[in-house]
Amino acid sequence: MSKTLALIRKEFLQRVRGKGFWIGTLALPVLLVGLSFVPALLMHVSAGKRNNVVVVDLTRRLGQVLQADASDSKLKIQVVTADSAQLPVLKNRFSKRISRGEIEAVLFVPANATKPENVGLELYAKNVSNFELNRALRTRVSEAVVEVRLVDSGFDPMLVRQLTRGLDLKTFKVGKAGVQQRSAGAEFMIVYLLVFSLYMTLIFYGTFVMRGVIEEKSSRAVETILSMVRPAQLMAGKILGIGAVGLVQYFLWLIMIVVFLTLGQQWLGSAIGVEGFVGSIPLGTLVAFVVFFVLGYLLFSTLWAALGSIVNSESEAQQLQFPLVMLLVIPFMAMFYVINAPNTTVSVALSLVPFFAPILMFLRIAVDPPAFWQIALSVALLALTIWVAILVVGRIFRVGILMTGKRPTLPEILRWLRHG
Amino acid sequence: MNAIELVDVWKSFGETTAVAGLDLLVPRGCIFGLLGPNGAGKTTTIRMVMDIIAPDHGAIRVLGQPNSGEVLDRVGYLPEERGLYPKMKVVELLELFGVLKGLPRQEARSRAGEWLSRFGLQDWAENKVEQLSRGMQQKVMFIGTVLHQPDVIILDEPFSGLDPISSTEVKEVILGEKRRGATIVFSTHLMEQVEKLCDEICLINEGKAVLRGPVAEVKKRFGARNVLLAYDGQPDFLYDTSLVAHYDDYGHYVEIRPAEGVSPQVLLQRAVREVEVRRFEVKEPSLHDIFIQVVKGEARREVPA
Repeated sequence: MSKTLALIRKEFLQRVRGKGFWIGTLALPVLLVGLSFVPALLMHVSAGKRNNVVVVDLTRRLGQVLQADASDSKLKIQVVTADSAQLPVLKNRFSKRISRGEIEAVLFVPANATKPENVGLELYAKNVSNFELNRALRTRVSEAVVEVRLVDSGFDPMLVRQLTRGLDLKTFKVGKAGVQQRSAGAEFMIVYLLVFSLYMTLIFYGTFVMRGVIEEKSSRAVETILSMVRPAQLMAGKILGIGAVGLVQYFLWLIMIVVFLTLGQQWLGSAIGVEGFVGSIPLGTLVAFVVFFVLGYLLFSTLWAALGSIVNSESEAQQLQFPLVMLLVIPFMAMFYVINAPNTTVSVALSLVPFFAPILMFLRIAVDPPAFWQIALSVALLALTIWVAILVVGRIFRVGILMTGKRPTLPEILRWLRHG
Repeated sequence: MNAIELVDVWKSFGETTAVAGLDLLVPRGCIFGLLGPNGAGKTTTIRMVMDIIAPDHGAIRVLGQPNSGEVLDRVGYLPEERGLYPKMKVVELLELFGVLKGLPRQEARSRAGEWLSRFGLQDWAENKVEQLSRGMQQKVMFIGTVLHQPDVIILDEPFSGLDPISSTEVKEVILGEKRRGATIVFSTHLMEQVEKLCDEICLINEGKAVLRGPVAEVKKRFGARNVLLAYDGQPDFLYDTSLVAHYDDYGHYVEIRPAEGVSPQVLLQRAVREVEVRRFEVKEPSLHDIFIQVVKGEARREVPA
């Protein structure tokens, strides 16, 4: 046991001290956070630059109402009151200002707009397909017109303000644990990010273990080490040492994301927030993530260790690791089906397959927690598979690790299994 | 109690039989040479002793116990294929080796320091292994083998790739470890080293022991031990057929092949009585000659008991 611990310590320290570990630890969250928040940042930046819009008001009554509402973050409206006689001149003048880029758009409100008639507004702009701007402008002007119409009908202006106040939409998720407030987009993003992290890190750390085994073989240190420890201890040291690196890396990522979101919240206001992302992951999902990461890691790193032990170089391993990668790609692809139909027979069956369970059972737990027996069954099957894999791979490893030269054929490997 | 005992050990890889019914007995406290041509099964035998590969059949005992688990911590092994982790610091590597052989971490570290100083490598302790020359790496490997003061030290071709100075240093360490009480087994095909260092040998060929015993005894058994005598006087004992099987006299110099069972001592005693002895030399066949003789004539020769 103390020997295995010494090997774990060696693997762990050797990697944590390396440059690669810190580059990887820093690069991945920057990449992920960057990808998910660049749109939010861009929106915030462009929102900071309010669009200059001119409203030419032929009703002569919108000026006060429109300019009174200065809280609009998207639009900066300048109201120009005019007669219909001035229209051609104004159209000409504002068209030029639009061309020069001084203003974004000009909106003409006809004189009869405040009458209860169906009238059209005319918008002139360089880019007429800016939906965001068009909708905001139309909403603002429509509200103003409605307000004027109501006041004309004898309502108190203050009362009109109060009565026409819009309503916010909040979304709620109904789950086993009760009802929780959740935003639809964020929900999908979180689940996707978590599953994607699982998928990436299982491949990443699996390959890491394989590379470690190949290094061990090619440094020719393996015979010395095997005179000191059993092959099983060597394999356990590699897998657990690198696994510990993985857990530390995840922990650092978690800290970095929390720090980033906290700072982000301060800089960017409510555009993004800790509560919006991390806070809305239920504890059960987090526990499931850790459990399925650990189990998945144990299963796949064991398989990758076997692969490393039978090859002589990484290029040789490249060709052979395809089936292994497929065992992770298939559930990752199936994710898009399972996320929409987590409780169909197909989804249940797929999520019980031990090789797919780390991704698919976790996904189902995150989206809509299945019955407890299903979770328990998949964990039990997964644990059983890990146990069998360790026994089988241990035999391959024991012989393979000392082999150099020709790569063993499948019949040879089967013979090791029988006699190992 | 013997250091190492093998009884009827077999091992084959696919169609090839590497070790075929090998019996081996290494007494404690000696320097034991495991000899044989390339491919004789030396390395396979050693790997089986270290439980790196399992024999197909047969029993292996180390220091009186089955060769697994803790008893192997009392053995130090230097494989022929010497590799170290290139990215580790020298002192950390030695510390790891010590801990893997059951030493407390602190103890392993301080011993590593002592050994590095002994080999003049103390300034390299904090360097990475890959920054060391090949010769230095060999010495580090050697330190890793003896760091935990093993009772049995197994060295597979310890002198291969060493320059004369390093060879001498390694030889000194081997003798030092023997004085400490360790049993040393080394495999080699360099007969010169064996003649000078070993107390006992076992010659294996094609996976079987073909010759074994104390070096002096092996030499006695093999090849005629001729006696060279330079003398003045009348050597009448030359005509005594119970003493001399054959002689070649030059008047003041004679080469004698003693009769069966006659030791050079007996001849010398007779010679001293009859002539004035100016020079007396027992010319032993070299192990090198025996090695070639035995391996080439293996098919015709009985395995000596």
